[in-house]
Amino acid sequence: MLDWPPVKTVRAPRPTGRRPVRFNLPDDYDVRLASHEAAAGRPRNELAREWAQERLDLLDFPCLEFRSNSAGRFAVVRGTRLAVWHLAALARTLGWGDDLAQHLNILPEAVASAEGYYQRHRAEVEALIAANEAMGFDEVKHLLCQVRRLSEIPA
Amino acid sequence: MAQLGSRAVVLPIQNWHEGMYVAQHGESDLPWLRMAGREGWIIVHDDRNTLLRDYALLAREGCEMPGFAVVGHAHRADVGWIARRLVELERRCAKEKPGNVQVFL
Repeated sequence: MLDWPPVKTVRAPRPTGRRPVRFNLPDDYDVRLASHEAAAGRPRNELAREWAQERLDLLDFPCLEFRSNSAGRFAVVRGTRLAVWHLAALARTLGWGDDLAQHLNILPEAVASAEGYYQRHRAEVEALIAANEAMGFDEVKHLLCQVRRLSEIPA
Repeated sequence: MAQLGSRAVVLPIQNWHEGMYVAQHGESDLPWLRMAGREGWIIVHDDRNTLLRDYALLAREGCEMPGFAVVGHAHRADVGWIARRLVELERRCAKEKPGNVQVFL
């Protein structure tokens, strides 16, 4: 296993007062779900909840999509790999608006989708920003020992 | 695409492989990091907690690595500062293999 600080968060804490949703899947979908369950090492109710939540978010924020990596799953601007947490971090300097869209060369509608997602999942996004900012030079060097500061490289 | 300094080329990620990397939906970055290593790119980014985590996985595979240059929080919205630091990076690392360039700008 990698000796890397644990992921701070991928999802916001579960909201309280949720009602269970029951549904049946056709047999072939059930087999496929079992396959995903095994591959992800997560129970099907957890996967189904994540997929449903993502799908509903995508209906509301159509300029976004979701992407996975070893740190988890996170929302990005469709077709860019620009993560919502990254836009939110930049928005601290540039604001949520045309300046941010111009800076990233994306449509204002994409910024609006990202802002909407941020407002809905503020805890999740802020935690991802905090996790990124906690990875300073020393923390990265702990794992990737070749890393240097540019100023340390002889001119 | 733009020429930078005397030798390096800056390629926006959305133009890399005709946009296939950013057009993928929900897939891992790892296959593309391997390809960046084979092609000798240095990835400039401000993503320490997710992309560098995959980068560390790649390092354990022992395959050819891409380089990376991390932009600090204070300058992530400052394109001019980033461009100047990249020119300096090119000047200081001209003789290094791209995969050996692992720097904080």
